[in-house]
Amino acid sequence: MLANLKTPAQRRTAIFYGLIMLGFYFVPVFSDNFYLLSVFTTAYFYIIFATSWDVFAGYSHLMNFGHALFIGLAGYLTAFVDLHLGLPPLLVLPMCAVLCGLLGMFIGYLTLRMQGPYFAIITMAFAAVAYESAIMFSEYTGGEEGIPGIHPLTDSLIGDYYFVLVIMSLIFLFLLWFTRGRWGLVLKAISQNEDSVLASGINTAWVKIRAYSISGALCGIGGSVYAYSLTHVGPTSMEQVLSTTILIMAMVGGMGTITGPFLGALILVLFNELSRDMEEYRLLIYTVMVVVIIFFAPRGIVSWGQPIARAFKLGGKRGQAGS
Amino acid sequence: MELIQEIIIFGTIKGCVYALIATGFTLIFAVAGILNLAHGTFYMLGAYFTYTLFYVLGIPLPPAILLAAVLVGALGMLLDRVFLKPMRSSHTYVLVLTVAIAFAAQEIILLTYGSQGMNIPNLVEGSVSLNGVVVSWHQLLIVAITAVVLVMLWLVLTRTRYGVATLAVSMDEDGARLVGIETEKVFNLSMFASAFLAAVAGALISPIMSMTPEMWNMPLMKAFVVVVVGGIGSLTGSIMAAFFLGWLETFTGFVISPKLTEVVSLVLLTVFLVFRPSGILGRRLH
Repeated sequence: MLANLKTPAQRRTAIFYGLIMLGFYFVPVFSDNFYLLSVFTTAYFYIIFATSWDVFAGYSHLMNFGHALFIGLAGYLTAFVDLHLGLPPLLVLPMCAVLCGLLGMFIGYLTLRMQGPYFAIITMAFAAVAYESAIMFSEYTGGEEGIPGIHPLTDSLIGDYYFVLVIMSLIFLFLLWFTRGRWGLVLKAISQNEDSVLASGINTAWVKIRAYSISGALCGIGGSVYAYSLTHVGPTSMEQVLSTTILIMAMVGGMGTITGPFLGALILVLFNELSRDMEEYRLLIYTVMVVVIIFFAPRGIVSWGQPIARAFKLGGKRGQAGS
Repeated sequence: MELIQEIIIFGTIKGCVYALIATGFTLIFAVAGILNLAHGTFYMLGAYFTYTLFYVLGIPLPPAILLAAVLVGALGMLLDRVFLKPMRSSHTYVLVLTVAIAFAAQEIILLTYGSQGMNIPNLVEGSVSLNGVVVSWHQLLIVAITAVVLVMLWLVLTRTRYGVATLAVSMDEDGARLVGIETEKVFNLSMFASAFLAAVAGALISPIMSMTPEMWNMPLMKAFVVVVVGGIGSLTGSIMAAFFLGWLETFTGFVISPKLTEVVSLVLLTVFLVFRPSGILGRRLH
């Protein structure tokens, strides 16, 4: 990653996100307001979901419409392990990562041949099957009610806040490292022209499967922490709406950049909370705003970084904000 | 014996609605390559527009349905012209934008009409006994209207200049443009037809199923299943698959368990996508 900080623009981007991250760590110092902290915690969850979505779907342009599958699956596994075996979270998280990673590998293997729209439909279908089965097998999953009573992560709200924040930071840094290196390049190249990547001797199928598996594993960690944090898991954690929200956040921020989904998730969650005063118009404004942003900036709000930086005369012309 | 009759009759009615939804969905996909996630929204708007025209403006039901479908068709054209035209070739953009529009439309409907379920009256009241199976006249009318609409669609596609142009564009867009077909016009008209069909389906079903702001979800999922099973881009395949799904769901509901009806389509979808992604009659997609 450090090797990537050559141009002023890249250094500027690194400083920008570094400062945001640092700011997150100091939020509890200024306020221990329950509402404020829980809003930020929600934002961190969505950042985990959106950035882990992005590492596969954003880079390969294979639209994953069922990312919430991993959240729900990890949530249910967490509930089972926590309530029946009583293992500590630090053991449960890797278990969820492995399970979701394997599932990602399996789905990736099955759907390998599929392109564009087919892939979107099948990911949606897998998540929908999982959702329906969570409701149907109610003797194990609690049906629509879900499973309550998962033990909390730590004793205090601030402890939870820092736990989620640390997990989020680690995932974010890992994803930046992963995508800024060789793998990100190969994935991007595959989305441009798979045949020529294949011709240069790279097993594109395996690259895609692995990216999907990593995407699932990281989302599984997020889903597990999510279940701990809510002390509850239910079928809503695999809902289509959640999957769609995640991909809309990534698209609004800017697909295939990791930093874009980070910003997209942060901004949309904060906007959603700040606009609570508008009552029934809130969701209308939210959805219309999303349509407008996607329409006018299909490459996401990170694509505004460069013009803004230029307007403030920061750095050279060839700077690439958001990378 | 009666059970088989019931399954065939009610499955056919269900299949008709699915066929109306799915033909429009597959038409616009075959012609313009647009996987329109706002297709369920057209279905929903068809129902709500009919409700408004009938109850608020007092227009009699049959013209109200027709007018609502034309209005929704025009909205479809608008959607295509304004939002999809600039980035039609990017599947990613089209998918995300149409799903965002679907959510926005849901919120608009929720604010305008509220979340309680609403119905419009049957086109024709009363019911009839077919060999012991009681069917309402409205349900039989759905079958008749579907038959008329689908035959008309078939005639338009095979017997008119527009239809031939549509077929040409669905085969090769650049080639069609080279021989002087105005592809933009074809896209627009296909979008109109697609939205029109969905709106008719929505209006016809709303005396039987209440309309709610979330009603766009179900038809969208069913359209996926039908289109994948029938083969993406094949209208005949879609119609066959629509009836197949209708019968299969009714069979499952009557014979196995009503709880499983919604799962049937998902299982069918997954099996087809994994083992036969090109569907019954489809060609391979790039």
